Order: sequence, then structure tokens, then C-alpha cells
Amino acid sequence: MAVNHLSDNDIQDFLEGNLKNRDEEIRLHLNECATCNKKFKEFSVIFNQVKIDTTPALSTSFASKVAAKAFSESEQSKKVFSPYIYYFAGLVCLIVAIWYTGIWSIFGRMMSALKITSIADFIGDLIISVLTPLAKMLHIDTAFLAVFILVLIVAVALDYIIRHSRQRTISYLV
Amino acid sequence: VDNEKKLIDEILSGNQAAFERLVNKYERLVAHIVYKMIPASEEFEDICQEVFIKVYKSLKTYRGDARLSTWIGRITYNRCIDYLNRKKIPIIEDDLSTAADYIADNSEGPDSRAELANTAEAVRFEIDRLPPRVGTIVALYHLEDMSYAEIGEILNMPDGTVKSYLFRGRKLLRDRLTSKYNIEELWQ
Repeated sequence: MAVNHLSDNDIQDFLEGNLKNRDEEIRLHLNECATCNKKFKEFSVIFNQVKIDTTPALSTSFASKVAAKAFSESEQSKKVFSPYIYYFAGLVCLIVAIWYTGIWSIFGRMMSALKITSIADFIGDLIISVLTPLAKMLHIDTAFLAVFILVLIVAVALDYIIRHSRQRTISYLV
Repeated sequence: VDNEKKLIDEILSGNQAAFERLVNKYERLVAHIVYKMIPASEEFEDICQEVFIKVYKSLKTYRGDARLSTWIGRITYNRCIDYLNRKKIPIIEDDLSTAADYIADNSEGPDSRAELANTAEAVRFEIDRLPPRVGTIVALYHLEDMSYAEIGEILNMPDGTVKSYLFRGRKLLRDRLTSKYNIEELWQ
């Protein structure tokens, strides 16, 4: 008489408790059939062994390290953005203030007064020859444009000095 | 779920200790997936770290549709796939060869008795040799107590496929181990 052995999937399903409706029938068969009983024991072993955790442990300080890194990266990304907003706002305020008070004319006179040597004349002429058409194109006063560029250069230079002096201070401390 | 929501709210309000708690809670889940998908990688801990940084950055987009563990698992799995693609490492997948094939091409592997200290070590060796996705499924099911549906969500495959991989993986493990050991040796 042909014997209907249990399939590998039947045994695994039985071990997982998925075959509640065939429970009695399977138990009976496992008691009577040596082949299926052997297979059942082998799978029982595997079901126990797969619970062995082979994954290496992460370092004990992993969580604190990761949390610190995530938060510092987030802070840094905020810092990279925020100073530029302040510089830009400051620059706009400065330009508006200069525009309303008419101080740019003083800078213009100072620039004229500086034309005392031939090299200064040359550089002054060169700057004016570049600025004049640009100012005309933008429909603004040449002296105003000169002041604007000067303020921009000073702001960028200050920004550079502040950033690099900070970095140097930090590197000395570290 | 409420606790998870509370934890997320705390993290989003800038509580670093809360994020540390989240990492502590899910670090084994992430480690299992990374280790099974990219075994023997020297960058194991770095990849786990990158996963949690990504989790932190994406936390504000978490809508709570899936369980947090499933969501983190999905991020981890995708990160592993990205890593393998970037390094041009093919996923040697579904290599659920039979015990006979395995024994035939296993000449360079350690001999069960001579090189491995004991049976438990041999079992660990065989578990680690399961194909990446199968190994991941086995670990998530048996170590993280996840359902087929949750694993399917992480690995982006239907529940039926997850079950099929799991059954085939355990059968492969049984075939490989019983080809080297008798049942009494394994029953420890």
C-alpha cells in the first residue's frame, strides 16, 4: 500500500502551528512513519537553531554616538544657512541707510580726493570706466554703485576673517 | 503606537536622548538586515550609522501608515541595495541549491569537524551562508518576530513569496546541516 508521506512544507507548517485542523492526523502519522518522524526531528532542530543570533553586536556606545552625530549634522546644516541671512539683511539695511542719508556722496568725494598719484589716477579711472557704464545700465549713481561694491567687499572680507579665525581657534583648542 | 508617536514627537522637538532611545530600540533590527544583506563588510557599523542618520533626517516624513519598525527596516533594506549597487556587488540571490549541489561545490569551505570548534559554530556558519534575502527573511521572522506581511513590506515582495523563501531557506539549512551531522549532534 502506498504511504502518503508528509511534505517538507507540511512539516514546517505543522511546526509553525498552521495546521491546527490536521493536528491529530499528523501526530498519528509521525508516530507511525519513521521517515516522516526523522524529517520532523530534523526540522525541529532547525527551528531551534535559526533562533541563534549570528549578527555581530554593535559597539556599546553606538546609540549615543549616532544620536550625537545626527543632531550635530542637523545643527551644522542650520548654521551654514543662517549667517548668510544675517549678512544679507545687514547689507540691505546698510545700503538703504546710505541711500537715505546721502552718505555715498561723501565716499564719492573721498574717492576723488584719493586721486593723488598717477597710479591712483589710473586705477581710479579704470574703476570709473568700468562702473560708469554699469551704473548707467542699472540706472543708478556711479558713486552709489562704488559704495555698494565696497561694502560688499568689506562684508565678504569680514565674513572670511571671522570664519577662518574661528576655525583656527577651534583647531588650536582641539 | 502611541508610545512611538510620543517618541517621534520628542525627537522632532529636538530631544537627543529620545533619538538615542529609538536607536537602542531598533539597532538589532538594522544590524540584522545589514549583516544578512552585506555579510563580512568592514563597513558594517558605518552602514548601520548611516541608516539611523537617514532615519533621523526622514522622521518628519513618517506618517505612521506602517509600523515604525517596518519603516526603519525598509530604509535599511533600501540602503543595503544602494550600497550593493554602488559597489557593483551583485546579489547572489535565490541560490537555494540542494544539499548535493552544495556538497559538490563546498570544497573550499571549512570542514565540519576539523576547522569548526563545535556544532554550534557550524550552525552559525551555515546560517550566515544563506543567500542575502533568505537570510534576512529568516532573521526577521525568527529573531524579530515579524509577520510575513511586515517582512514583505520591508523587502517589497508579496507575503506568499516571503513564506516561500522562508520555507526554502529552512529546508536548505536542514539539508546542508544533515549532510554533515547526524541529528543527535545538532540536538544540543
